[in-house]
Amino acid sequence: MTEYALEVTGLRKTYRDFALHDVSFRLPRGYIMGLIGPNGAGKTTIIKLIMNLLRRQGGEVKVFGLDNRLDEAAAKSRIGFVYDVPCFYEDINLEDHRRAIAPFYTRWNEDQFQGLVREFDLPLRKKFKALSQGMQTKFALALALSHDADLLILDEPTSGLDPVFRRELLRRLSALMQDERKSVLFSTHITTDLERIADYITFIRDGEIVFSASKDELLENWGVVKGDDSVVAAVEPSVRKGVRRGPYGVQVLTSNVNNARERLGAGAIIDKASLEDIMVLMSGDRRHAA
Amino acid sequence: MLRNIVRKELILNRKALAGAAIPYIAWFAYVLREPDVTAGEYLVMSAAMAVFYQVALFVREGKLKTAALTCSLPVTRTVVVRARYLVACSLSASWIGAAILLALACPWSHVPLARLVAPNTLGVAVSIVLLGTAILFPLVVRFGLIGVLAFLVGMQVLGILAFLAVGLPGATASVNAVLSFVTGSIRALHANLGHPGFAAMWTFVVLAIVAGSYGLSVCLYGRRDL
Repeated sequence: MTEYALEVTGLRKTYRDFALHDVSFRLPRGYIMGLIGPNGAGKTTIIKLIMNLLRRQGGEVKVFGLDNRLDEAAAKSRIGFVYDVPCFYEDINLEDHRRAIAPFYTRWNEDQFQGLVREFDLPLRKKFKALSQGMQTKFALALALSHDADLLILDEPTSGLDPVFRRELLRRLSALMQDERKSVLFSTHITTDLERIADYITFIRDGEIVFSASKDELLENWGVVKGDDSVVAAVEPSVRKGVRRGPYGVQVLTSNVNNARERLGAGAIIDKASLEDIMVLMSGDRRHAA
Repeated sequence: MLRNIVRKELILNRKALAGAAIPYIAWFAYVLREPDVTAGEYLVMSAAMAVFYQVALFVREGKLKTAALTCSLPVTRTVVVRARYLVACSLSASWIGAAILLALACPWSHVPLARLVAPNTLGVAVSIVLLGTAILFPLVVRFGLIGVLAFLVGMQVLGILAFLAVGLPGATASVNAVLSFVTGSIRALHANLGHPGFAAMWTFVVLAIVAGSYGLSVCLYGRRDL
């Protein structure tokens, strides 16, 4: 039986100008899931609901089978969390933050933390506000990686990082997966990061899950058909996921490249879809998609 | 976990606490110069200041937007609120203790120690701290700094209305009656706290109000989106 690190079922949250509708997805233990979607799609809202920082209006969130509200402390003790916006005390130094936070975790590993401090070159005596955005993220990562968390939830962790450290972080996350016990939920705009490391991709748009599927399945079956206006009609509507018209022709995103090849013939230009293609074409002009 | 939250609040706010204590201490040292200030007045002022002193600690969380840090730790919001009441009461007790020590230490103080540590004087001070905390905490927990400001503005508005009402024909007596009631109540409380029966009943009432405030704060904090 598959063990799930995270099970989100029918999650709902309504604001005056935005609503999350029945969001459901599951992350099996030992895998990395990328949460992608345009700005304002609801990625951070989902993550905050998982962390119980927002009050849900419906649905259920389970972390290793533990309800995130009923078993809040137990569930959170197994989560390492990196915030999209730093929420540390800006006038307090990093060492004091560590002293305040470490006792909450029974599996806190001081050697691991000190190793990460050296590796990330973190100045423990400096106030949090004196750090650059990248260093602030590194500090949050060092804390999240130092208590042997079984589930890492990272909200846009790579956005403030330089490419060298971004790659290092991805390598570290991949290495973390080696023991097959850890899981990661990773929200990002940088889809190339996910192509490197993610096992599952969940795409959210306007507060709704568009798909939640294995990355390999997506990259294998999804494609971009290029041509003139005639290709729009040639791609079967049930597998036509997005259309974009540009100065050099039309791009049609399909969730079934084989079907498109059969219908368009051998001469058709069909490229494999990258995650960026999928995100851009599905977030683009949806009037043409249906 | 309660201990960890208390520890966290003290570590991450200790500089702010120390920074805020300096002007308070300077002000009280100045107050002690006044020959007309009685022990009761001095301790009541200390208690009122103590309420705002510890409330300021939790207002900081809203200002620095650090609530998400606290609530992402493996602890329930109920424990967070419980820890805050505990920290608030401990800080207030320390503050009253510091005020007494200050009165002892200042060579220019006119306030006699025996009057300061009289059980009924201390009882009034502790009552003010607990009732002030009980009133302000739900506002702080739900609205942060805005809640405290709304309370202060509300009190200012009441003061202005009272000031304006004094000028109206026939209203002076009413305003004076309200003010007399407040000061008379504090005096009556001070006098009656010497009786064990009244002291026990009063303790029960104050604790019931604090318990109600705590329940309300838990409910409000649990419903708050961060």
